[in-house]
Amino acid sequence: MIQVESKYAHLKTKPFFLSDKDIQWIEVTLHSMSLREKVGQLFCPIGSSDNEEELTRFIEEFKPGGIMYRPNEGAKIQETHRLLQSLSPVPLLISANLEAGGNGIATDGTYFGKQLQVAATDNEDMARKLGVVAGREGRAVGCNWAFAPVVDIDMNYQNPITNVRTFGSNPERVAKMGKAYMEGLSESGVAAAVKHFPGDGVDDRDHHLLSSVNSLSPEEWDQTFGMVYKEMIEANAKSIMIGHIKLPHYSRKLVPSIQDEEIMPATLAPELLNDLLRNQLGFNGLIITDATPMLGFTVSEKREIAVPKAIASGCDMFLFNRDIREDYEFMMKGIETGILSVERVDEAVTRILALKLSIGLHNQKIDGTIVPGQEALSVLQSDEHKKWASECADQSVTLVKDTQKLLPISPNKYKRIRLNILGDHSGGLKEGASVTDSFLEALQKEGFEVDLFDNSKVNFKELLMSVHALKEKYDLVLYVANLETASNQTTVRIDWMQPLNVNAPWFVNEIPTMFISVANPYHLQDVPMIKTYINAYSSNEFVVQSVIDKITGRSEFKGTSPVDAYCGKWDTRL
Amino acid sequence: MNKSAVIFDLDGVIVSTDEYHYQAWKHISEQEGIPFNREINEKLRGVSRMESLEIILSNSTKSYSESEKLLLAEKKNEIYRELLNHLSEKDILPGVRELILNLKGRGIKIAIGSSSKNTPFILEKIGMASSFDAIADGNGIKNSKPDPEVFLLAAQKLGVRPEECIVMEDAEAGIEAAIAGGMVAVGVGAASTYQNTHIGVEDLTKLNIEQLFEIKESSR
Repeated sequence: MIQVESKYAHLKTKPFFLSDKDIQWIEVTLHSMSLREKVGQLFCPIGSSDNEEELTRFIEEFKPGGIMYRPNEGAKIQETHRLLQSLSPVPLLISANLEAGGNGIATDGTYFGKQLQVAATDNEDMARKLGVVAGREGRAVGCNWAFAPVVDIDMNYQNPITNVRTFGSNPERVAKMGKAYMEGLSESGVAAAVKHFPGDGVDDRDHHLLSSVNSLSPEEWDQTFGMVYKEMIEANAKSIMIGHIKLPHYSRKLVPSIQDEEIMPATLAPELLNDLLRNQLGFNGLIITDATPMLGFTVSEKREIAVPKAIASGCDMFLFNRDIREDYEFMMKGIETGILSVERVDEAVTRILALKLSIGLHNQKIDGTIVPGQEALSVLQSDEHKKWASECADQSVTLVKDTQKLLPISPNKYKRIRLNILGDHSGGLKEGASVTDSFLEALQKEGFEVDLFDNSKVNFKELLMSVHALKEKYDLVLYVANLETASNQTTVRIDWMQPLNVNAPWFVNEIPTMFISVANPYHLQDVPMIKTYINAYSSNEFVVQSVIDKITGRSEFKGTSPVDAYCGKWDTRL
Repeated sequence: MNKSAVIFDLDGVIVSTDEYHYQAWKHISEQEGIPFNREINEKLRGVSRMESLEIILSNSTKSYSESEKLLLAEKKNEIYRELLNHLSEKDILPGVRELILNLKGRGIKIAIGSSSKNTPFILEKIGMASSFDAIADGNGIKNSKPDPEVFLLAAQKLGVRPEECIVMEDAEAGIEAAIAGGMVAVGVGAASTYQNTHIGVEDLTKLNIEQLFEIKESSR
C-alpha cells in the first residue's frame, strides 16, 4: 500500500486532485486492461461516422481513449456522442475546438466571437463568458474536453494561423484572458487543453505545413510564453496541447550537445516536454499532441518511428491519424522494438484515466449523465448567450484610424455605397460565417443604396471607368474583408482580383473610402492608403450589427487593439 | 518460484539464419574440395563455429594446422556476415512479435541469450536492437552452450535469479544449457521433441502463454 501511495501520489495534487478511492479505481482499471487496450487509450481519433454499426466496430477494434468530431447539428452530434459513450467500456474524452463558442461543435451553437475579439474588449469577464458559453454548449452536446484556449502570442503579424485565434500580442493579456476562459469553461465540468506549447505566433509559417520555429531565446521565452504557461498551470490547466513547433535555443540550452539536425518539434522533443514543461514549469496534467496528420509532425520523422516516439518523448495522448489501423500497429511495434516502454504507456494511460476521473466521467457514466438529454440542447444560442455575444461585439469593434474624419456616415451624406467584399469564402476548415448578405441587408435597412461589386467575373467596364464616372455613381466605397485565418494556408493577405487589380482602391483621393475587417486585423499592411480602418475580428451577426451601429454613430467605438494593427509600419498610421 | 523473465536464443527462435550458415559453409567446403550437404549441415545446429569447422573438416583428406583452421573459420564468418546484410524485419520468425508484446504487457522481462558474436549485428538488421531488457551473447562468455554461462549472464544482467527464468531454445545444446542453469526450457522447432524439454512447440505461434506460466508452476 505504501508503494501504491508513492506511485500515484502525484494524482492527488494539481491539477487532478484525486481521492484515494479514485486512485484505487485507476489502479484496478489499469490492471484489468490488456496492453492492446492500454494502447487504445493513447489515441484520440477524428470521428467520421454516425452509423451505429460502424461505430460499434470502431470502438470494439480500437477502444480509443478519446474522440473528436467536426461541427454538426447539435441534436445529431449529441446523439452520436451518446452512442459512443454507451459503446465504450472506459468513458471517452470527447473533445472539440471550442475556441470561439459552442459553434466549435454544434453548427447551431453560439458563435460568440474569436479570441482576438474578446481580447479587444480588454475585459477579462468577457473571456470568462466565452469560456462559459463554450463549456455550457459543448457540454450540452456531450463534449467534456475543449481544445482551447489558444494561448499563443501573436508576435508576428504575418503568421497565417494564430492571428484572430489568439488573445493578442501582449503576454500578460494572453495569460489573464486564458485563465478567465478556463475558469468559465470549467463551470460546466469541461476540461481545457491549453495550446499550442511551446508557443505559436513567432514564426510567419504554419505548423500544418511544416515544422515551424519559435526562435525566442530561453530568456525571452521564459518571460513570455513561459510566464503564460506557468500561470495557466498554476490555474489548474488539466491538459496542454503540443504544437509541431521547434524551440531550438531552449532545446540547445537543455541539451548543449544537440546538433541542429537533431532538434525536433516539441511533440518529439523529450527535453521540452520532460525537462521544460514537466520539471521546470511543474505541469502534472495530461499532454496531448496536436493533430498528427499535420506536416509539422509527418516531416519530422518516419511515421513508424514518430508514432511511438511521441508517447516515449512525453506526450500522453496522440491526436488524429492518417490511418488509425496503421498508427495503432506502429504504436504496438514501437513497444516491441523498444522505442516505447510499457512503463511509459502505463504512465500515460494513468494520466488519461486521471483526467477522466477528475472531471467526473466515471460517475457520470454510472448515473447516465455523461451525455445529457435532448432537453439540454435548449442552451444552444440561448438568449443569455446571444446577449453576451452582443455585448462582446459592442465592446470590441475597434476604430484603428479615421484620419480623413469620415465617421459617422449617414444616408444623407453618403447615399450610394459601392460595397467590395474580400474573401468571405466558406469551405475548408473555416468555422466563421459569411457576411456578404448581412452587410448588404443591414446597410440597406439604414437607408443606403448599396451596389455590390461582382467578384465572380472580370468587369472591363469597371476597369476602364473614369474618375468622373466613378464619382457620378458612388458617394462612398466600403471594403469589408473576411479573410479568415485557417489551417493549411501560407498567408492571409489580400489578393486583388486580376487582371490589373480591378477591385483595388486606386481611387482613395477621388472618393471617401472605408475598410472594415471582420477577421484578420492586419490588413493595413496592404491598404495603408485607406484613411478609415476598422477591425471587428469575427464574422458573426452580432459583430455585423455592432459595426453598423458604430459607423452610423449610434454607438461609440469601445474596442482597443490587442495587437499592432499598424504592423510596425509608419505609413499605415497616416 | 514465480517466473519473471524469458530468455530467447536468437538464431532459430527469433530469426533463422540457418540458410546463411549453410551457404557460407558450402562456399568454404567447395573452395577446399570437401563434400558438404544439407545432411551434414544439420549436425552443425547449435554448435560453435570452430566445432562446426571440425565436423566439416572430418570429411577432408587433407589435414589443417590450427592457424589454417582459424583462417577458414574467419573466412566463413565473413561470408556469413556479408549474407546477413540481407536480413530485415521480414525474417523475424512467426509468433515472435506477438509473444514479445504479450510478455511486455505482463511486465515480464525479456533477454537474448545467444552464443553468437554476431548478435548485436543481427538484432540491428532486424530492427530489434532495443527490444530486449538485456542481451547476453558470444562477446561476453567463455563457454558455449550446453554450458549455462550465457543464460546465467542474461539472468544476471536482468537482475533476476536463474530459477525465475524461462528459456526459448531451438537446439538440444541450448536446452541442456537452460536445464544446467536451473531454468525452465521451452523447445522450439527442432528442439520441440527433444526429451529433456519441459514444453515443446513447433513454432512460437503455437505457444500458449497462459499455459506456459501454469505448467512450469506445477511441473516443478
